[in-house]
Amino acid sequence: MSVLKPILGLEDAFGEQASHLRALQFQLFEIYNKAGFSEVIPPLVERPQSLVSGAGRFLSDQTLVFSDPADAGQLAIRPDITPQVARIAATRMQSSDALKLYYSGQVMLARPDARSGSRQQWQTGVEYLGVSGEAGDVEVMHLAGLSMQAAGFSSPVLQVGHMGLISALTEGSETTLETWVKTLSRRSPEDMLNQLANEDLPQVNKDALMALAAGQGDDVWLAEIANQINDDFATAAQELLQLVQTVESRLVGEVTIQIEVAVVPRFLYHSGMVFSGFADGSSRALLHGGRYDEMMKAHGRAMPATGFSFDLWAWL
Amino acid sequence: MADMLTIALSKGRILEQTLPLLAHANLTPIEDVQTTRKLMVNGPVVDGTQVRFLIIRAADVCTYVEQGAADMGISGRDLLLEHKPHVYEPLDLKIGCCRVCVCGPKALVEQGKPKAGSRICVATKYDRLAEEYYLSQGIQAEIIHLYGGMELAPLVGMAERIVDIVETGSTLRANGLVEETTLYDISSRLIVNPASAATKRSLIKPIIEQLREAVQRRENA
Repeated sequence: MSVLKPILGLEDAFGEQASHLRALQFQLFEIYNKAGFSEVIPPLVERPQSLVSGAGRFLSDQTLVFSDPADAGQLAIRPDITPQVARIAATRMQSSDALKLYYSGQVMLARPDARSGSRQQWQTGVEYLGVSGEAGDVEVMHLAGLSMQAAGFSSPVLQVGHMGLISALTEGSETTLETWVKTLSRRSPEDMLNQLANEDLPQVNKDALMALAAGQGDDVWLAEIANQINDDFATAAQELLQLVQTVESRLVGEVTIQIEVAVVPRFLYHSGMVFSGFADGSSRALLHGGRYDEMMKAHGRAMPATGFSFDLWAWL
Repeated sequence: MADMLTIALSKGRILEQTLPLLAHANLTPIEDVQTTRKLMVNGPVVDGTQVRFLIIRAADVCTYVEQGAADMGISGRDLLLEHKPHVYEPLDLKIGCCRVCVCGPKALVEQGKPKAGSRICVATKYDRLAEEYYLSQGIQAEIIHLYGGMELAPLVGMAERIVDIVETGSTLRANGLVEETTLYDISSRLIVNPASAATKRSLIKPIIEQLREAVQRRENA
């Protein structure tokens, strides 16, 4: 019998790998349950428009769409579970003002990850909806730190930024936020300089963007520049500085918190605070999270929302 | 403090220009890395952390840094543009300066650039850069990947153009080729693994600043 070729970027888990994956998954579920979160299990497929609400083409670019003969419409394999949770919270769980939810399931990306070649992730995450400001953010960052510790990562670090700062710095630019975020993600002053050459932004904004590209956007830098850009920048800076102060005092010994204004989200549906998690011995970000109030509005229920997620496969 | 900080360096000509910059940041390898056959050489101990250097092929530096086998490295911008690794590029070291150019036989180049809608064969080791450029020009390019000696391809009729690094242009001239277009100015960049930038921030940030100062000082000299 001929052996079927494996599918690009997809693989099976069995034996030790499968049992480790489940063991870690259940360990994390216990942490989330203890913190008062409950599980939500969305389907593997969604209507494409539901997945891209508030996320624009950042998700559509990674979404596999197919025709559904039973429903006579198009369906999409989820590339990310957060928009599904947003949909469920906005349309199915309206009786609750505050929702503490977690999930763990497979997602599939349309294109293989440039580095690992993988198109599948076992996305696991926590979403805290209905609580604005610090309270929600501190809780999810606490759980992010606990999750990394439970998985055995040593010296976890959360780098925290704020999309409001990037938006305020690039206000008035005709270049899309996506392009700015891409440039920032490379942390290359030369590339930033090339981009700024055609931009009609105030010099102080350009200097700030150059500093971010050079990796200088830490807490000291932010405190110095907070009131020099514009009102939106000052508000976001104040929010971030205050949040980090609170998180640092609450999570002492649990996780190291660093302000890094150039930290950017995995998908661009985040509109407030954003963070990425790192640890000794891991060569890439272990988790991504942040506030995505805007996406909830797009689903028809304006409510604050914050959370984080990670790929359980990559944590083994 | 971390146990180890690993810096990947390119073998060859760039290494010679890199060493004075490293010396300014007090990061001198304990052995002569230009003559040793070792691929891994220790450097100083900085704030209790042992620094070590990997001496590897230029094309491999971004892979080592992206995979986290090295925390930092020095890589040509051509390779970063071609491979788009997930690394930070915080500093242009302004060494190893050259250009990525489209070149071709003199007679062909004098006839003008290929027209939109035309089809040509292009020999290069920069498949992605060549493809992106010709797509942007509306030209259907068949990319022929070569590992070196691109100049030969037009001479034997295998390609109409090449996309390659040009430094002085002497190899081009010796083979009857001329430059048609410069695609990118190239120099060597300091690259940093994003996770290392977070977990070893207190070690890496001062090194970047010292190297920045060394580059500035050399530029002003």
